[in-house]
Amino acid sequence: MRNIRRRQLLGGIAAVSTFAIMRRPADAQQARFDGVTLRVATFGGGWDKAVHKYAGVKLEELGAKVEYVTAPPRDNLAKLIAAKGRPAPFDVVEMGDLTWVDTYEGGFIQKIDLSNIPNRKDLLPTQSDDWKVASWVTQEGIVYNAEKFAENGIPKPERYRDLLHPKLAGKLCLIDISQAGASQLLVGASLDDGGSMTNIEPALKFVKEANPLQFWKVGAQAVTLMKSGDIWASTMHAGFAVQMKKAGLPVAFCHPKVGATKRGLLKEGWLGVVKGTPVPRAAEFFINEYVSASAQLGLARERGIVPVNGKARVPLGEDPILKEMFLLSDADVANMVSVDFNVFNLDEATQRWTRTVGAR
Amino acid sequence: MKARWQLVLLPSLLLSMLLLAASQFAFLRGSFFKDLRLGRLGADLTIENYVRFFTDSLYLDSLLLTVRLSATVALLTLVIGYPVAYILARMRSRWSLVLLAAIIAASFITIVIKVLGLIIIFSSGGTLNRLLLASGLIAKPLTIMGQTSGVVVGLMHFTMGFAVLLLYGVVRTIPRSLEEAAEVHGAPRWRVFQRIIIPLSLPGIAVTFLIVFNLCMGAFTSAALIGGGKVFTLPVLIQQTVIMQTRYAMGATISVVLMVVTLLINALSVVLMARLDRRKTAVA
Repeated sequence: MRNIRRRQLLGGIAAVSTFAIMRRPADAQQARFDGVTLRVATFGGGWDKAVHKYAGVKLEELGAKVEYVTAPPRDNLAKLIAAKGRPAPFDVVEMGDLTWVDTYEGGFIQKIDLSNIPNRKDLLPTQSDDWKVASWVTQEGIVYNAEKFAENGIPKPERYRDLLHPKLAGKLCLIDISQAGASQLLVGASLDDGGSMTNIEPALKFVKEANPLQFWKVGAQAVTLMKSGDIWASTMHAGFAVQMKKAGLPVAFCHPKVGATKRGLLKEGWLGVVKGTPVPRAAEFFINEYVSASAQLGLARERGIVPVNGKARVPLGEDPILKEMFLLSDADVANMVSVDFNVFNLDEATQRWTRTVGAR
Repeated sequence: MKARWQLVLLPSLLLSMLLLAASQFAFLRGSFFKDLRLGRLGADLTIENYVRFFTDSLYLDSLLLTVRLSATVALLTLVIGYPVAYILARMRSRWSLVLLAAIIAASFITIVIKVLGLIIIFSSGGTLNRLLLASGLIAKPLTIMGQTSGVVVGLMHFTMGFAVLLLYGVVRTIPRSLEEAAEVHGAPRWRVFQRIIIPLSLPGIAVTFLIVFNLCMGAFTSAALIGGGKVFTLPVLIQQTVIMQTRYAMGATISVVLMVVTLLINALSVVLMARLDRRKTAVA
């Protein structure tokens, strides 16, 4: 009896083990990255920490080490240019929409093996190709202090030119031309006032007239000024409004009307694998984790981006702050303005901007 | 045989020149090629970038603004820094050393922190503005952001410590007995300053002016942070041209012009000082 039980027990263990082994092909295929170091060029200001929390740790669980090189995308592009002919300074690069074209044209990124990005199935078809995978979307517009606006009888802004209200003189910040997001301001303000993506004269006139306290180069600058009461409004993306609202500031967000029918402006971030990286597989694993539903949802809640992963967008409507700040319905998103960087000339815009706003 | 002590300076001079020449050679060379963006340069030599610099009001205005700002800062720093240095140098109290140590310590603080401090001090809800508003001296809060005057304040904050230290050394070399002798002979205090202290410290004042001026000509942080994207000095334009537009040749051209103008102003100042010195010697 005892022998039979032992035999049965051993048989059971063997059966369970066999079943477990048979059930493990997916895990067995799960690559290990022991000894691999992946260097990711991304934004600073806490963004890198959030990315690590939601994507980097997944790679580290498989034995890799993830390091972050934090700087705005243009600075990271400059590092790639400077390193040309030598080993790349990082393996994955996060690009703003205006930097992606230069990074691609400069030959700094390599093709991605999209079969290693299975989470791509939850992205829109336009959000990935052989060279890049979308990492986030932000909704550009106006963050304003609703209390100060009400106290001073300033109407809620509906479009960019509403920021020309006399009571906002000296109480306004605009995004600097060096930042991703300035293109959306220029295009949005131009389209709303008879201009186009090639004729940005109306936007430059608006920027000149607005005469902001400063053009912010780091989002934290504008947030600090908003907190101290130095400014009451700033052109920023809705994520900043989310962060400020969560910090207890009485802010609201305006998706500016653009022309007769459009409302709001979109900006996209992209991930690429740096040409010549010694760890392409780890880079692709990282990108796949970055665009997973869980990472995108975490980044949306913590940092205020709009997820590129469709599954992550669904629960956002349940968050009252996110629901208030973001346009989430497909119809609303489809009605937003996207800048066509094949048409909009950033170089020319930068030079004209400098001539327009420079102090003498 | 007379010792030629100036030869001692030769190694450091050669080393400095070598470091300067090596680093500037890349800029100088790059400035003579056509810009193809993304760090790429054309194959043929050209002076196109220089023609553009000297025919485009954007660059010329920026050059003038940079020189004007630097000269203003150097002058104001001298005006404020000299009395401080003089008092410190002539103090008999042990506090002089404490104050001097405080200035040295402050000089080690990075410019970013100093600028952030200024931004906090001048914020509309900051202590300074609250005090001034409460006293009725101002009707609306003072701000330094996005203004050239603000950049002047930032640059002065950055250079004041160096200037005071340099001037302290200058005043210490003037024997106190000279002042006492003049006073014994009935010279009022202002006369002592005018006839003895200032003339004797003039070479040191000129050197301090030039050092502060040079620091300001290449200063980026104050203009970038306090200028709020509105004050385009040449260093700010260089950053924008290289990082934003990836036009390395044009960035190199602006760098070369900045360096040459700074060197020319320095050389001119040295010639002027030498001429003044010769005239003074001839009169004596």
